[in-house]
Amino acid sequence: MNISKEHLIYAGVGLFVLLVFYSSTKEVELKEVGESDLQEQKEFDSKNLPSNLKPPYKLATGEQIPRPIKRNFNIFSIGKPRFDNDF
Amino acid sequence: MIFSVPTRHEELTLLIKVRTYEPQKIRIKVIDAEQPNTAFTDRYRIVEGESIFFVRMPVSPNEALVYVFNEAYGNMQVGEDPSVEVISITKEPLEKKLDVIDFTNPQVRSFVNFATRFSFNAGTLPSGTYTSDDRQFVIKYLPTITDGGMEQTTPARIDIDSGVIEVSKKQFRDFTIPNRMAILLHEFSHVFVNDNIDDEVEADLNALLIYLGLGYPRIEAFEVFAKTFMAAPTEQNKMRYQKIVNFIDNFENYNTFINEQ
Repeated sequence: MNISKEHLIYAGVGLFVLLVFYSSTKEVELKEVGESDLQEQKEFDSKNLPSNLKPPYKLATGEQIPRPIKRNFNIFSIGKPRFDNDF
Repeated sequence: MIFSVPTRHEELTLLIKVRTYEPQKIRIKVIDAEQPNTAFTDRYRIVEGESIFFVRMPVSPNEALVYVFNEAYGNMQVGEDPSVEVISITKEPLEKKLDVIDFTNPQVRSFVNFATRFSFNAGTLPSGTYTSDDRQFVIKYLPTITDGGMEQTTPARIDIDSGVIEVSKKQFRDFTIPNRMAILLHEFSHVFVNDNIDDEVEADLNALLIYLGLGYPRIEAFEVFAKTFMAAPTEQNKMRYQKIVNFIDNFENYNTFINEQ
C-alpha cells in the first residue's frame, strides 16, 4: 500500500482534532469531603486571587466619590436623586 | 454528598451526572471551598433515572465544593442515601457568545470587569464605596437599602442621574455570583446601554444579552428575576418575566430582539 504525503497530513490533522477533543473534556476523580473536614477550612485571602478576580478598589473614609461619566445631562439631576427601584 | 473539584480559577462548565431510581428532588450547590458566602449555583431538579446538571462557570474558585443531595433527606455522605447517586463530574470548556456583547464600548468592558470582581468578592467585602479601576463606575455597598428610614425590598438600584449603584449587602450576601451579575448588569444597562433610561424591559434584555454572552447560566437569571418579581407581583412584572423567558429561550438561536415596538 502506498501512503502518500497527503494521507499523512490528513492523519496528522485527525489525530490533532482527537487530542484537542480528549484534552478539553476531563472527568474529575470523585473525591468526597466530609462536613467535619470543611470546618478546617483555610483562611481566605483575596491577595491570592488572579488579577481579574481581585476585589475592586474601596474608597477610604473621606475620599471623594468619583463622578461617573453621565451619558446624558438631565436638568432633573439637580436636587433629589432619582433611583430605579424596580429591579 | 460533597465533592471537592479543583477548578483553578478557570472558566469552565461542570457536568454533574446523577442517578435516581424514582422521581426525586435533587439539589445541586457549587460553592467556593475557601471564600465564605460565595456560591456559583444553587438549584434543584426532579430527577428520574440519569440526568446531567450543567453548571456554567465564567468565573470559578481555586477549589470548588459540589453538594449533591436529595431535598427530602438533606445532605448525607456517599452510600448513606440510596435515593441518589453521583455517577461522574466532568469539566468541559465554557461556551460563550462574546460576539453579542459590544466590547468595543469601553464602558461595557470596564463595567463587566468591575461587576465580575465585585460579584466574586461580595460575600466577604465590607460595606463601603467601591470604584472601577478607571473610576467611571461606583457601587455603594450598604448594609441595607433604605428610603426615609424604611428598608427597601430591592437588592440594588441605580441613581438614574449620577450612575451611582447602591447594593444591599444583606441581600447580596445570599445570592449566587450569577444572580449578582444579572442584577448589576440590569442597573448598568439602565443608564449606560438603554435607549430609554427608564425602560425596565429594555434594561432587563440588555443586561441578559451581556450576561448570557459571557456564559453565565440561564437558570440563575430566571431565578433572580423570579425571586424579585415574586416580591412585587405586579402586572408589569409578570409581563417582564414573560419577555425574559422568551428572550432566554431564543438566545441560543440568536433570535434576540431588544427594541420594543
